Amino acid sequence: MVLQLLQGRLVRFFDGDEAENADPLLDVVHQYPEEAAWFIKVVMFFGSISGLVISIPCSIFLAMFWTPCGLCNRPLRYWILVHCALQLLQAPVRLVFFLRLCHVQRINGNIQECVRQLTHSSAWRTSKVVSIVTYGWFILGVVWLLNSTHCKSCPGLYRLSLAVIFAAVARLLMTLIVFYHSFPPRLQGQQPPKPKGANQELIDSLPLMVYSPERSTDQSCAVCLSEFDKDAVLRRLPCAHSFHRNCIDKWLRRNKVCPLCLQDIEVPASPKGRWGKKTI
Amino acid sequence: MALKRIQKELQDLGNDPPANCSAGPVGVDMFNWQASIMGPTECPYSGGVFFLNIQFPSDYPFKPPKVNFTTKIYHCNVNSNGAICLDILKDQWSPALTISKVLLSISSLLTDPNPSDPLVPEIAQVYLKDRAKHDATARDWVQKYAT
Repeated sequence: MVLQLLQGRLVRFFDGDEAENADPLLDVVHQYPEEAAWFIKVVMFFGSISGLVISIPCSIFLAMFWTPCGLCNRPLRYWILVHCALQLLQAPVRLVFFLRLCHVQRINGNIQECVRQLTHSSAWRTSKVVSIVTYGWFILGVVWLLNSTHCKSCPGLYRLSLAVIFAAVARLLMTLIVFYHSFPPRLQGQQPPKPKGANQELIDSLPLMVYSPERSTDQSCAVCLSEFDKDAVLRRLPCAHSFHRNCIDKWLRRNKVCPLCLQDIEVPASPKGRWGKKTI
Repeated sequence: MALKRIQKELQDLGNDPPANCSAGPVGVDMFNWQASIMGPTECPYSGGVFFLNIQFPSDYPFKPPKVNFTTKIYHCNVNSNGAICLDILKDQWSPALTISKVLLSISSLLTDPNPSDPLVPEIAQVYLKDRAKHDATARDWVQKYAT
C-alpha cells in the first residue's frame, strides 16, 4: 500500500503535467529529434556518471581528513562537500532521463513526447534549480580556491578542489563538443530553410472529419496506403487532402507539409493561397 | 504500421508492376529488399540491368528507405559505394512516395543525370565538358558490370 503510494508519487515526479511552459530543450528536440536524443543521452549519461565518480573519492577524502582540513584558511572542505551533494542530487534525475530516452528509442516511440513529459516534470524543474545553485557554488569555489594559501595541515585539499573544478570544466567542454558534433552546422543560407515539424497545437487546429464515400474526394490514405473504412476519422489539410488522423499527425510532427502536394500546412495568411485549391 | 505498409506495397507491386523495374524482399526479412532497374533506352545505360538494395527503416514511411546500387555504375549522382544522391531519398521524402515511385525516379535519374548536385564531381565535370567521353565510359561500365 505504502509502496504503491510511493511509486505513484515517484512516477508523477518524473511525468509532469500538461499546462506548463515549454522548455527551450523542446525546440531543439522538435527540429532535430534524432540528434537531440543522442545529445541528451550522452550528456545525461556522462552527467550522472561523472557526478558519482567525483563524489565517491571526495567523500572518502573528506571522511578521512575532515578535522585537519578545518584548519585551512578557506572553507574548501565545505565547498567540496556541498558540491558533491549537489552532484549526487542530480545523478538520479539524469539517469532516469537517460534510461527513459533509451527505452523510447528502443520501442520506436515518440522522442518529442518523451522529452516533453520529462521537461514538464517536477524532477526536471527541481534539477534545473539545483543546476543554478551548482553554478553559483562552483564560482564561489573558484574564488575561494584562488584566495587560498598552501595548507600545511591538509595538503591534499587544495589539489582535490582543483581536480573537482577541472572535472567540472572538462564536463562543460565535453558538453559543448558533443553539442557541435551532434547538430549539423547551419548551411550558409544556400538552401531554403528545411521544413520543420508542427506542434500539437497547430495540428489540432486542422479540421477532423468522419469519412463518408459520398462526400470525400480521396478514397484511401496516402500514408498507410489503406482504403478508408466507413466512419474513419480523417484530418483535412488546408490543401484539401485528407488522411487518417493518426497517420497524418505522426507525419506532421516530423514535417508540416502535405505528403501529396508538399504544401506547407502553415502557409502565410493569404486567403487565396491558403484555401484556394491547386488544380493539377 | 511499417510492416503493414511494406506488405501493402509488395502487394501493389505484384498487382501493377512498374515497367522496367522489379522489387521484393530478399529473404524472410520484409525490411530488406532487392530491386532491379533496366537501363532506360536512349541513354548510355540501356541494355544494363542494375541491382539495388533497399533497407526500410523501422518507422517507414515516415522516414525514407535507404536505397543503394549494388551494381557498379558510372553516374555523377551515384558513388563507388552505390550511394545515390536523390532529394526524395533525403529531405524531400514524403510518406506518399512508394518504392515503385522511388525506382521510377532513379530510372529517370539514369536518363537525366543531375551534374549540378553531383556525388562524384569528377564524373559531373566529364559529363558537362565532354559528353561523348562520358557516355562512352558509362557504356563501357554497363558492358563490364551490368550485363
